[in-house]
This record gives sequence, C-alpha cells and structure tokens, in this order.
Amino acid sequence: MQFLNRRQLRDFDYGILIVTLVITVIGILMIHSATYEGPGALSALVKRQIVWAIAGLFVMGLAILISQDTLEGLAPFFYGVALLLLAAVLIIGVGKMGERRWLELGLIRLQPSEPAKYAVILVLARYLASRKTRLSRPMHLLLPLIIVLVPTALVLREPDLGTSIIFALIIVPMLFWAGVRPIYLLLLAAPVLSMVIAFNWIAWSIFIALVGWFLYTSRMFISDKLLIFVMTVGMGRMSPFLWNHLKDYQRHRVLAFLNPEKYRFSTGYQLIQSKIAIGSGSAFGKGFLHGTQKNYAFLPEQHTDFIFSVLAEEFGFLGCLVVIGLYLYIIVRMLRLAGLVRNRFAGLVIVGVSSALFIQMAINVGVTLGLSPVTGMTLPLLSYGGSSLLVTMASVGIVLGMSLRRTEY
Amino acid sequence: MRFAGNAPDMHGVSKQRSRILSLVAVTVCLIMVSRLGWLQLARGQFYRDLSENNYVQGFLMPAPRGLMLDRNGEILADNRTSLSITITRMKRRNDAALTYRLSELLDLDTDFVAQKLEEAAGRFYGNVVLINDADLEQVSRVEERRSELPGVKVEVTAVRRYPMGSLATHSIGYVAEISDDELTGMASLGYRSGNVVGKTGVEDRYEVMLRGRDGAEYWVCDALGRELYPFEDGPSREARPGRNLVLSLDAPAQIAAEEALSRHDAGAIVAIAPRSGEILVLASLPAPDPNDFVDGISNEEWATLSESPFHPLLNRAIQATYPPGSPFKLITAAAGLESRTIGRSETVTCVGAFKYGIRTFRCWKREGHGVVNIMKGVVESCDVFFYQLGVRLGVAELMDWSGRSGIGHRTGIDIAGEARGNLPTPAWFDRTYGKRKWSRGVVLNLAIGQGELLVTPLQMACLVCGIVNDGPVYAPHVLKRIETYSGRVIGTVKESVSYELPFSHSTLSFLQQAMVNVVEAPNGTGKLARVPGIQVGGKTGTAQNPHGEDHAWFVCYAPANDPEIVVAVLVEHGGGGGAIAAPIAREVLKGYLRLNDPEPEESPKQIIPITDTDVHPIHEE
Repeated sequence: MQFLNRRQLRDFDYGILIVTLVITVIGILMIHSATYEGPGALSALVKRQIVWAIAGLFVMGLAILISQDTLEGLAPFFYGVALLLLAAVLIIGVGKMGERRWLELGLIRLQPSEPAKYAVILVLARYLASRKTRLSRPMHLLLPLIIVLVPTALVLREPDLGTSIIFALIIVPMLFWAGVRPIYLLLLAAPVLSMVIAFNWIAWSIFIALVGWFLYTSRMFISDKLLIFVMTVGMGRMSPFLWNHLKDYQRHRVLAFLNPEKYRFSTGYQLIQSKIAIGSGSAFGKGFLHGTQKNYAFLPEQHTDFIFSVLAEEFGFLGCLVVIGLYLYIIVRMLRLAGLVRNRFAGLVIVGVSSALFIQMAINVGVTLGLSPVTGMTLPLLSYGGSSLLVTMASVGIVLGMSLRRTEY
Repeated sequence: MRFAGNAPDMHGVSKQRSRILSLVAVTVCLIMVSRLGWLQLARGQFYRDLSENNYVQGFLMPAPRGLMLDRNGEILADNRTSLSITITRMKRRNDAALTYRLSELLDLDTDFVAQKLEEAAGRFYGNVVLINDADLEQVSRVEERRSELPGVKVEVTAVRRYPMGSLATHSIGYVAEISDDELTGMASLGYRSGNVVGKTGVEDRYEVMLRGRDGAEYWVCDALGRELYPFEDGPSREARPGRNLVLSLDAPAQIAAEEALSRHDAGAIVAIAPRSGEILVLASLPAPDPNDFVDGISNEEWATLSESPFHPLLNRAIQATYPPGSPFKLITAAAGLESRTIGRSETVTCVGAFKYGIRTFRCWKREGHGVVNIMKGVVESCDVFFYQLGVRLGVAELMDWSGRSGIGHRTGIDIAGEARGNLPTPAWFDRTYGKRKWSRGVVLNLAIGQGELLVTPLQMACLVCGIVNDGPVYAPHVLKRIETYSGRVIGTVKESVSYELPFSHSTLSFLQQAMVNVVEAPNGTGKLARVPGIQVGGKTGTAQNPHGEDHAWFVCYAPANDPEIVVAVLVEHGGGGGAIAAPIAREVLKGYLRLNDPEPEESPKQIIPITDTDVHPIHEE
C-alpha cells in the first residue's frame, strides 16, 4: 500500500466512480418505488440496500488501496476459496424450489457465485498475463478453458443457468484481449454447437463437414486441427447417447432447465407484465412512485430481476436511455482504461470486470424486454441484493485502483 | 517492475481491441434501445391503456390425464367431468366483502375462504379451487348471484375416475393432490400446488406420460374481471392431453382372479405371458377403491386403511414376501440334477421323517412316501427326499443356484416399491447370526422352501416363466403400448430378457414334465387346477408360517405344450396349497382362456405381436 501522490490523484478515474454511485442511488430509489409502502415510510428492503451500499463504499475504498501485484499474487487463493464455496453451496446451500444458491452464514446470506465470478477473472487474468503463457495455438486455450469450466459446472449444478452463462461468456473478451485470434474463439464454440446439432443427423453431418473443411484449409498445426475435430465429433456423438440413457423424468428436468419459460407459467406471465409495464411508461414515464402496473400486478422479483421494468414504467423511454447510457459510459470508460494501463494483468482484469458488468446488464435488460430467454439474473448495482452490490462495487474499486496505478508496469 | 506489460508499441493494438469491444457494447445497447423505442414509443399508448383500465389475466387450460386401457381396450382409468367453484385474482376487488359473501352463500368457514382468496391474489395465472366437485345446489347459488361475486366462477374440470373400482388397483395405482414434499422436487417440471399426481402403480411410474401439458391463454380483462379479448402478446398455447397407456393386463382374467381370491382374507395373484413378460393379472387383496383417493381422503378413512390388520394398501404381489414353500422344490430339484448331485433314477426311502443330528424333520405325509425318485419327490412333494438332497447340496451350493434363478433379486417390474425377498446365503447367516453361530442343518428347511427364504409372488411367477421358456425370463412389465389421445401408437414396450435360469434344457424339461404330473397325474397334489381340454402344469405349496395358519401357494402354466400364461397364487393363511390355491389358479386360467364365456366370440388366444422398439421396461438395478 502506498500514499496517493499528485499524479495518481490526476490519473484516478472520477467518471467511473461518480457514475457507479449514481446508478447505485438510482437503484435504491427504484427499490423504494418497487416496495413502496406509503409516504414517509422506507421498506425494510430499502434500508437493507442502503446499508449494503454504504458497506459497498468501504469495500470499494479498500479495493482501491490494494496494489495490482497483491491482487495478482492472491488470485489463485481467491480462486481456490471460490471453488470451495461453490462446492459447499451444493451440499449445504439453500434456495427456492430445490435449488441451492445461497450459503446461510448467521445473519447474512451469501451467494458464492457472485464473488466467484471475480475470482475467475483474477486468476484468468493472471494466467493470461504471464510471460510463460502462449496463446498462438488453439491447444493453448485448454487450460484457460478448464479454469473457467470447473466453476461454471459447479454453478450449473445449483442449478443456475443464468450465472453459469456469465461465467462462460466472460472468457471470450478476455481471451480476445490477451491476443487470441478471433477465429479460434469461434472454433471454441464448435464442440458446444455440435452437441446441440447432433440431434438432427443431416444437419450434424453438414456441420461436421463444414468444420472439417474449415480446419483442412486453415493454417494450423495438425495436432490442433485434430484436437478441435475430435472434440467436435466426440461431443456430437456423445450427446444423443447420453440423452438416450437418461430416464424420462431426467430428460424432462433437462428440458425444463433449458427452457424454463415453457414449464413455468409464472415466468411467461412475468414477461407479459414486464412488457406492459415497460410499454406503458411511454416517452416520459408515469412519474416516480406512480407506476400502476407494479401495484396491482405485484411480481415477486420486481425489486430484483425486474427492477428495470419499474424504472421503465416510471421514467419512460427517456429514463431508460439515461440508465443504459450510464452503464455504457462505465463500460466504454473501463475499456479505454484497459488500453491505457501499462500492466498487462491490470488490463485483463479491467476487461473482465467490464465484460461481467455488461453481460449481466445486457441479459437482465434483455429479459425484461422479452429479448433474452435466460431468466433469474439481477441488474448489477440497480437490483436489490447485498452480495451482488457489495461484490460489484468491490470490482469497480479494483478497476479504480488500477486507474490510479495506470503508469506502473 | 515487470516487463510483461503492455509495451508502448503495443498501445496501438490495445486501443484497437478496446475500440472493437466498445463497439460490441454499443451495438447491443442500440438493439435494446430500439426495442424500448418499439415498446414505449410506437406501442406506448396501447400498453398505457392496458395498464390503466384493464389487465391481463392468464388462464390455465389443464390437460386431461391420459387413459389407461387393458390389453383388449377395456377402460381401466379415465376422466369424468366435474364442476368446481374457483376464484381468480382481480385487479380491484374488495376481498373482505367477498370473503363474507362467499362464506355465507356456500356455508364455508370464513378463514378458509380468506385463505383461498389470498392464495388467488398471489397467482397471476390460473385460479384457485374453492370447492372441488361442487354439487348442483352450490353451483346454482353461485350462478344466481354471479354479479355480486367478481372473479368467482363455475368451471368444468376433468377428474380421474376408475370405472372398474378396486379392480387391479395395485397395478393401476391412484392419483391424489400433490403433497408439499413432492412439490419441492417437481416444481421445476411445472407442477403447482393443487395439481393431481400419480401416487402408486402405473399412475406414478408413468406420470410423465400420463400428465400431458397444460395449455395457457391470456385475456385482457376489465376491472370487473370480465374477459374482453385475447391478449396477443402472451405465450399462449394449446393443452396437450396426456398419453393413453395400454396395459398388458387382461381384465377378464383379472376379474376372475379377484373374484376367486376374494373368498379369502388376503392374498395375491400374478399371471404373466411367459414369452413376453407381459403381466396379465396382478391382484392383491384386500384392495381399496382408488376413486376414494382422488378427491382427497379423510384422515379417518386413511387411518382405517393404513391400520387395518389386512393392510389393503400393501401390494402383496410385489411388495410382500413369503416363504416360497414347496414350489421352491423345483429349484432344489433342478440344482440337484444340474450339479449331478442326484440322478433321475436314484431313490430315497421316506418313512415320514428324517433324522439329522439330534433333530427329527418330518415329512408332510406322516406315513411316508416309501421309495421315492426325483420325479415322485416333486410330484408328491416329498419333504424327506428334499431334506436329503439339501444335505447333499449344502447351503452354499443350493443358495448359489437359487440366487441365479432370481431369488433375492428384484424382477424389475415397472411398478415402484418391489421387494427383493431374502436369499439366505452362508454370508447372510454369518452376518445375521454371527460366524459359526448357525448350524448347517438350516439347509433342510431351505431345501423345502422354508426357513429364512423369502420371495414375492411375482418372483415365483418369473421363476416358472423361466422354466417353461427353457431358460430365459423376460422382464415383467405392465405397460404394453403408448398411444396419443387420438389413438396413434407412439411406442410399444419391447420384450427383453431379464436373466436366464442356470439350468440345461434336459433339466428344465424334467421340471416341465414334473409340473404336468403334479396336475394331471392321479397322485399329483395339484389336481384341482385341471382345466378341461387343456393340459396344465403346476406345483403346490403350503408354506409354514410361525405367525399363524399356513400360506397356500400354487404356481402353474398352461397350455403345457405351448405355454401362454403362467400363474402364481398365494393365499395368506389359506392353508393347503393343493386344496385352496390350486382352484383359484384354475379360475384365472379359465378367465384368461375365456372358458367361462357361454359363447366365446373372440378367439381365446390373444397374442398380439410386439413391433416397435421405442420403450423398454426400466430396471431397478
């Protein structure tokens, strides 16, 4: 730890800090509106969110003070703890409808998948930043993939499809940033696609032929080509086999898991209500606390997953533009910073943090707009939720700390 | 200081990458903004009206549950229509006033109505049932004062019905409202409280197929809860009825079996088509009427059922275990022949008792059977013969052959809760009584099917299936075919060999011959199972029971030259197998072969070819 000098004060990214705080405050206001009990009263949820926000500020301050070398050194430790917590939540976790997502720790409930996201970003950044790491061949992507897939699989077991998708998606921009050729990133998707396409024999044959042709004509090591081809074919051959060996109720579970909307009427209804709420906000909204949809059609996830609908109803198109603009500002500002910092690890961490923030935002807003099928994700900084707010603010703090150390190697 | 950073010359690359990623973010945001523009600017007024004056209500269209038919198309389970009084959530409604009005009108408890209204308020789709199976009086009261009861409706629903009453209820099973425990596990499959699920038998095992898929409709309603017009934006869909299941059960044989068995307090009958493993009869008496469970059974009724000394809820055919008694001698004999421990012409002299060590083991025939060879031993069920054979084989060998003949293993029938029985191997004796704390003399009892051996009636039927099939035992199953509600066949259960009896053809044909002699020979013990015109093979049994009267056993098959049906009968505390169980088996055979019909219109031989390979009976192990 060191004392801040004049240059560091100049380098500090005030914009990111201020906009983060603005979004957090908007979030508290929207939670107040979503849980409004009458004039002069603050709901318990708002009070709790305020306490979490203040705690978040402290954590953010602490995160600013931690040097990037310390972070880099601690990354594997964080990763190990995250895996332990994710494993623990599968055994002793709690949640609704048979899911296991939270750890009950006395007074507080911790959702380990939240901090785990950032542990993965740190350890991945450390690996990709290392001078010994080579990334010129697809073969080299195996280890980073394993780093990400282990926690992804654990989160998938909870089951929490939404969060596990974030885990799997964060790796793409980070690998891109580290210099992996975009075409290899596309090839990473081939085995996954193969698993899905395998159920139609003709489509799968065409797909395999295409992949094969592409590999044949591309300039890669023969071992890399073989690896990709074998994995693509293997995964494709395996999935119908695995599928046929499931019992009918297990298949139903898989289908229900992949397509919850079809199996849960409540989800379909929420989406309708969300659309009506958003649409009825029109250009300028119905005004703060004047949303009607939320009063009569109370949705259980209004203050968490569907907070954006409340915002859209009360502040209209204009309000949505402002909030999306604020998120975009943070993202673009962080990405610019990633290009300015001299430390490669720091750059990668910033890319990871901004991607996590953006992917969550895009999926959550996409769901409320009926654009994305994945449900059960919160809007970072805006939705009600202690561990999410705390961890997001900490991650912003880490980025801010990197902004004032941007000249350090 | 590290050198692995973004070197100054790398800045150009980094800037470019940062621009590309930013561009991706901006593009995604533009998509969201254009969608917002569509919803809020282009369609804003439409949604504004919807949110201010009306509201959207989702309606659940429950899928009718699939039917169950017997192999001839006789309906075993269907649905009847029923009227129920339901409450829907409403935007503006004085729930307190409605609670009062409803409880007055329908003479219901105020707290109960209030609780249902609260439940409805939390449901954005579908409704909450206030009264299931409402009577006409209640319905007309509600209809008369409809205008004062916003959101209260009379709805027509489908309720499970078992037209044959308690017939075959232990294989068909029954449905009832989903319990809280089941709901935690099944909520992710779309089940909600108030849903009906299969609890036992086929209803439970094939729940996924029978259930179908509920439909959904979304309507724009006004403030009074009247449906105005369908809401186009909603994910509406049609209900899809559940699959119809054609079972392999044969209703006439099942009826004959239950009727014959009903003269006794308790017992079980299993009949299997040996060439396919199709269950033709699965009876367990006493049996409850499954219709009683559908609308919810009262606590007292439940207590009566579960505390009855005859345990009507127990499926004796697969869940209860009994000492196999004399039919087990078939295994002992086969083991003796197969291991060459005894020859066909070897004889033993039975004087009515056999001394082993200091104990005397009696034959059931006090005066003795005289000179006995293995054929006479089986046909006349001579205990002394089998005591001696057992001693020669030893516990380990006898139990080894028994285990390989299926004793102590689940058959894998597609009904839950099957018992394993007990195969008392030397290891089992060591575990149970301690090493060397048991005498080798146990083999005498085991050889005649007594002692620690325990089997289910289904296991005995499967054993006989293997004998008449010359080895292979097909996995027993109740499901025969799956059809859509319109009758299109979408899957047929294919027969599959579950295991093979470890005996050679010559040993098995000896057993077949012996079984025919048991019924058809003048001195056989199973004479009462004779069916005119058809040769029957069988084996009687009288299993001693320390807790009371002996259990009566009879296993048989017919016709002897081309077996179509294998029957196992067990009468709890029935007494002698030949006198009590054999005539029951005869009634089952006659029922299946349609020999009671004055004019057999349909051909008595009902062998329906099995074609498709879609579905396999699923094994427990």
